[in-house]
Amino acid sequence: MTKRLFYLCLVLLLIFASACSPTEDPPAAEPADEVEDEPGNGVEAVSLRMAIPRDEGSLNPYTYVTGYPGHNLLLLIYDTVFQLDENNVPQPWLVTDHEVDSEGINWNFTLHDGITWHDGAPLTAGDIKFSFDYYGEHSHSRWTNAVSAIEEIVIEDELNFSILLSEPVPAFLTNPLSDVPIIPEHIWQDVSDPDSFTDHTGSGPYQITEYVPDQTYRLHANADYFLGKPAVEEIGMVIIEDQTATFTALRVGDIDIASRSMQPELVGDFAGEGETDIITGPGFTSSLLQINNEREPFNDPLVRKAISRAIDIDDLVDTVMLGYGTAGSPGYIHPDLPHYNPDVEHIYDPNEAVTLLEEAGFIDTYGDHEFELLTRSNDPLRVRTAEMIAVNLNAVGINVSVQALDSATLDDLVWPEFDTSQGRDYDLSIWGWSAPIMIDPERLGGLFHSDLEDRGTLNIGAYTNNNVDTLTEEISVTVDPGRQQDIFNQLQVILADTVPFVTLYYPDGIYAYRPDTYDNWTYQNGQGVLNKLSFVNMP
Amino acid sequence: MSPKGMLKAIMKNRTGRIGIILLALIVFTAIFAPWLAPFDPYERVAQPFQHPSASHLLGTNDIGQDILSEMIWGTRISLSIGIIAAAIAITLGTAIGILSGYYRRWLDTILMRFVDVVLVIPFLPLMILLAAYLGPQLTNIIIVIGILTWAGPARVIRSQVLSIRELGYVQAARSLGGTDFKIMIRHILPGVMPIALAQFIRAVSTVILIESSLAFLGLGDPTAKSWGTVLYYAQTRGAFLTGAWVWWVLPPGLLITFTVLAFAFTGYTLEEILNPRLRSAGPHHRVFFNSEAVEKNRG
Repeated sequence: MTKRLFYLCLVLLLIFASACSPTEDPPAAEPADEVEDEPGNGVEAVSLRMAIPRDEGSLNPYTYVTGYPGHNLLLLIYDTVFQLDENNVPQPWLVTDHEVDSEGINWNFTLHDGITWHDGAPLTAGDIKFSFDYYGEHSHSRWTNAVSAIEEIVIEDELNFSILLSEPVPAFLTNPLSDVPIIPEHIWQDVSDPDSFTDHTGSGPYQITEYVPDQTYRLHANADYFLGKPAVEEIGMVIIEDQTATFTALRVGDIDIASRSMQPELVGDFAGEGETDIITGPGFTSSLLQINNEREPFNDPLVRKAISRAIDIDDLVDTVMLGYGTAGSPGYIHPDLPHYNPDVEHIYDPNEAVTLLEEAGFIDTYGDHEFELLTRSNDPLRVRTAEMIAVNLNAVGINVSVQALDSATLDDLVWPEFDTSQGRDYDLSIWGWSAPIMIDPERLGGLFHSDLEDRGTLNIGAYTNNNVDTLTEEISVTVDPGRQQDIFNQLQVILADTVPFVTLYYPDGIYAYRPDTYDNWTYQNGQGVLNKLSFVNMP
Repeated sequence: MSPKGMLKAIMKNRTGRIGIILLALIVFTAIFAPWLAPFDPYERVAQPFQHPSASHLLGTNDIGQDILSEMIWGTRISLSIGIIAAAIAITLGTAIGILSGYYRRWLDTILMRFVDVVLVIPFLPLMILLAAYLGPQLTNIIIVIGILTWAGPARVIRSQVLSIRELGYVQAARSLGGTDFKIMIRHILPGVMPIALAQFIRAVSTVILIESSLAFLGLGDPTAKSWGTVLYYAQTRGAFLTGAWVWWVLPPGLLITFTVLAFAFTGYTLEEILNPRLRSAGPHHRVFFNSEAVEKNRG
């Protein structure tokens, strides 16, 4: 036992020793060392070194791993038919012209002339048809569903093609056209098992010239890119898993940018003067107080509304996010998105909360009952959020205790088997959705529809509202932008009034980088700086 | 030896004296935490991430709670975890040690081989695995630590029982027809109590260290303000990257170190007093991590 004690002491001492000299840590991986730094003007960099948190496989459409930054890196190597601009409005990319009939069924496109694959072969309409057909036949979690509404693609000639849909898709230009990468037919035509295929020949601004699994990637600029040569000649990517090690490497100059968003408390040490700077913008992930709408007394909309009134979300943003976040809209939609309804607003009013609770008869029945607020133990920001909410709710007479659980246990209580029709077993829980569930308007049906079997696949609180059911069904087949916005506005008003959950905040993206190496980053709202527009200009 | 006599003997030894004084300070802090702490550690009293100032001597943490108050209350929580988990371990260890040493034969063989198995299991990895599997509630952590640290004490206590059971008064009780249960409780247990106490004191320090390690790794209960939890938040909220480690990492680290030392010094001195084999080594052999002591513990 004494020996064990001694080793534990030693480990502890080592921890402190490493704390005392953070700058002396060796870099976690070999940077692209034979390329010299361009001290230059901060626009045309020769080489850039970036840290990513984990291995992304061979980075083709079937082998990339994460939604972020994997998908973003994938789209530096492959192109999409359309491209989202800084405000997430789809703009023509591989195509110059497009037309659509009034029902939104038949779409005609003309490709850019002279686009080539990395191996020199021309990119034609045949490749577009091949790609969408291929994703339809070879199942992939992201692409297959996205192309499911495509009935047929007709090739007219090398550059012209038309897409025929089986039903109108409201955001067709965003998904699939701005999301699904185009793959070369001459390479993929005989591939029957894409999950084990490692080729990564694309048409994008960068091509992979070197890949050492679990260590580095080297991307080289595609000099023949149809929109001109990309601004950075070479991107070296090193895999650094640990957050502290990542930003230590950035500080000492071993890397020039980190793909991961920085924690707000570090901003003061990296922003402004000095060799590093930050770029920030809105993020579309959400942090929610999820309420079990099925369970007494939370099945009463008055009680849920009282909970919403009791929570000081501005305080949460200022304290937990140190101001680097946007306060949640009660209509769930982020204020920087086009379909946001500015008429809905979160109201913090503890007195009204008390009145509402009295009206609902809450105090008589549940005044002494203690509710559990669940949160993931491995996410300190969520634990802190839960602790602050518990104080808010206790102040209006709802007794809440915070329970930190490991994420698997939490998921099992809130969203058993990731199937909302399997029921749920919790009172309140801190929850969050990723950015795609915020951006894609069709997902609103998933979040709020009461048919848990088929439509409400993300409705983990079992929220029920007939008007919301009707409106979300309508939005999934509406192509008229005016009518779409009308439905969105109505939906957000109903959600704000009936409170399926409380939207707390949307954390900002904070990206730290070294401006001396490269300073021409483009922040795409909700997506960050890792996108084509940071390296190539919009046509 | 009476408790008073034991204390006197410890105070005669320099190492023991340091241990007892540190221990008294720590226990005092734990008991009087509400009066000593300038703020409620659960209340947000200032802006987050404040540097040390006159009103907050160790600054504030990531949501604006006073770190000094967290330290003082943390004494209470870390100490409670240590004492409860060590009590579980020693109770188990004593029970198994007495059964094994008293009955001997096949029961002794089975129990001691089982102890061997528990002793050779890689300790920290198993602990991490169990903590992750059972979930991060404080009670689970305490139970996990408790049921994984009983084996060493069980072995030490068994060897003591082996000699006690041959003593005249135990033999006498047995020949007068005393039941096994009665003999174990009335005659053997009092005999092993001093050794159990020494083992207990040493176990507390181990437990505090283990709990801090688990909490630091994010496997503890993040809502319980132990010293390890404070370290966890310091680490996850960038204290190692900013200058904040000076007031956010060093204080809990030093407190853990001093507490572990206090218990280890006291426990070691006590063991030395109770075990003539160690005492005969003379003052210049009184190193803290005596190899002989290790041998003894491992049986």
